[in-house]
Amino acid sequence: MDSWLFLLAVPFLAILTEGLYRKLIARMQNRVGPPIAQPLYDLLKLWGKKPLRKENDPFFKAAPVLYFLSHFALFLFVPLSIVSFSYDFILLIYLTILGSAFFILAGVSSDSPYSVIASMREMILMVVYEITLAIILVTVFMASGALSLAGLDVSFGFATLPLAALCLLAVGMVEIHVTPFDTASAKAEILSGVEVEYPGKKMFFMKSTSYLKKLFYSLLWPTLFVGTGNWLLFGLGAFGTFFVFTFSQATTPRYRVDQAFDRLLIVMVIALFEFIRVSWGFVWVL
Amino acid sequence: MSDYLVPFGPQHPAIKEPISLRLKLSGSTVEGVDAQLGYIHRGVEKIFERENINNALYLAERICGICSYAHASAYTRAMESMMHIRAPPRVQYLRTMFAELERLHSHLLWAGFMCHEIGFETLFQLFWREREQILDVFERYTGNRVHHSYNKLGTVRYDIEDEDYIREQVHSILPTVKSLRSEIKGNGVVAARFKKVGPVTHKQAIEYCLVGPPARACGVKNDIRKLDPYEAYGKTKFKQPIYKSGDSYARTMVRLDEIFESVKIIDQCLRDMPATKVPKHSLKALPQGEGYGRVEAPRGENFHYYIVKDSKITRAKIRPPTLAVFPALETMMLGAHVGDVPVIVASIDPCIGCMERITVTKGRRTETLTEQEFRRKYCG
Repeated sequence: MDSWLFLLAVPFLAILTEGLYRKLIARMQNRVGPPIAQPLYDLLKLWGKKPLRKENDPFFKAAPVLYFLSHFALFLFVPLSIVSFSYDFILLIYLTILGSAFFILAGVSSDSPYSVIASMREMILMVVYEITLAIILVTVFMASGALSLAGLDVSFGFATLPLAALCLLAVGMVEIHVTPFDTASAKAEILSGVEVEYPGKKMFFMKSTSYLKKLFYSLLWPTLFVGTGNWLLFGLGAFGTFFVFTFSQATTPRYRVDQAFDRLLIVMVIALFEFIRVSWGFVWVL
Repeated sequence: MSDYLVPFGPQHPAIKEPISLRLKLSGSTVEGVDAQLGYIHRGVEKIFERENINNALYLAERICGICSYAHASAYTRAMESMMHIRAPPRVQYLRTMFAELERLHSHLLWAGFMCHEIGFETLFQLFWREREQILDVFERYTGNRVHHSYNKLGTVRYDIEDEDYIREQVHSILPTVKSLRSEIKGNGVVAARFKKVGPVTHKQAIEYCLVGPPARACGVKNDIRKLDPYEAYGKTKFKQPIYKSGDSYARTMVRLDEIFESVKIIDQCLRDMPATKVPKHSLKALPQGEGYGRVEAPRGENFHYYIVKDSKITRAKIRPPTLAVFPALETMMLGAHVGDVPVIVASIDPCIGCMERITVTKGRRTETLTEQEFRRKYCG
């Protein structure tokens, strides 16, 4: 029962994450920054807005809600295994791919060329980063010998799988659209891309999903590499991951889409190397 | 054979002024560029023709919102050459100093904008923060941050009182600019986005008559401050930063290096300025005939040409730096990745408001004409 209550806390945690993200970046840029609760005010304002025009395209209307739901469903598995069954991590992989697919659908069903460009960029990058994420998850489960996220024993620590841990950080950067891998939502080039045509409540779903994603990838890394046994360590791991994302956004510019693809390909090869190493039973000698 | 045509502008987040570039793409490679101008044409050369010489100075300053002082300087230089007068030494030093302060603020603004183009928001914020120090100097001595109205024919409007304040403000930006420059130099992602992007060879630079930082990035020494020293530039010592590669990275580094050279010039001006009084504005002679003035604006050579009759301007011709650099834009873009187009456009530091000339739109047809063609065709 308690673990179901966590789902109620998720929206507030996501808003807190986004608020902290904006505040930290502002401090790194020598600015004061908005109040921590600013994302909440933004969402409330968006919820109160009426649509600008009548939309008939069902995909355009449905994509933001599905995008939101597919990401909210991820919190059933991470960090608390509210729902648990054998090989549930496979479903986790499916859900992330589904989320990206709805993101692409939202862009393609918009009229703006910027949205379509953003969708194309996301599609190109998705080929690499979703596969990398799948490889990392399988590697972690193979190393721990567990069958589900509930039974995941990561007492071995991330020192056993250092390359996979680093690769997951890179994948997280692409997923939550922070530099240097935010080519799909470049503000200066394509007006944040997919979101550009969405008004009011649909924008509410797009925005809140981006907040949820930031929270999810900050929690996924410690779930896989620190473990939920010790909550203090888990919290530190989550904040550390979040800080890495924020720091990366503040200190790097953006790769062009082909450059980002090349770099992510290297990340995938490294993840694959880790996978082969684990499957053959080699261990790092430290 | 291009696959499809992609519009870049007239309204686009990467460009702050309206300009339409139609990119012919083959895959994601640019195979041709068709530039269409005329969205902010103000007919400024025509407006000059009804102004008297004192009012036209303020009009000249309003050609540009960033390098307003460069236009005022070019105008003043043209008129003073017609009047056969030279400003007193203190005025010359003051004008040199203000021109360099403007170069500092223009380059800092541009550097921030260039970082914004590649998503480097932190550097954008930090560069613009430093720019405020320079704008504070302008505000203190002229009352305005951008349109200073500082020059008068033969003199300047205000003298400076507190030299240490300027020195302090100008030197306060140096540590930050130094560290930001090394950040740009050392950052691998910046190198990936800037290096070998929009290259121009030395030969092409000469053929296109490139001016300013884009030319100096190709190894062409064409600084008007050195070639045709005006005001107090002949009495100051400074270097022209020269790079060979001619790409966006070289153009960036030229401008960042120029910031340090400008600070050197300002220091020398403050040191060598004679402690005399700034004379009051009085026209002892009126300009007559034709004359030109050219100055090194932050973006390159700025050229003004005027014909004056009975203290009224009868013809004005202005070639701002962007007009000289613009034809080379297609060469820079050919073969580039479409994602690099915003970087290439930003790297020439375009000022579309300065360079708009006559465009005629009739029905669905758009034609761009010279003034003679326009008169022949449409003015009977």
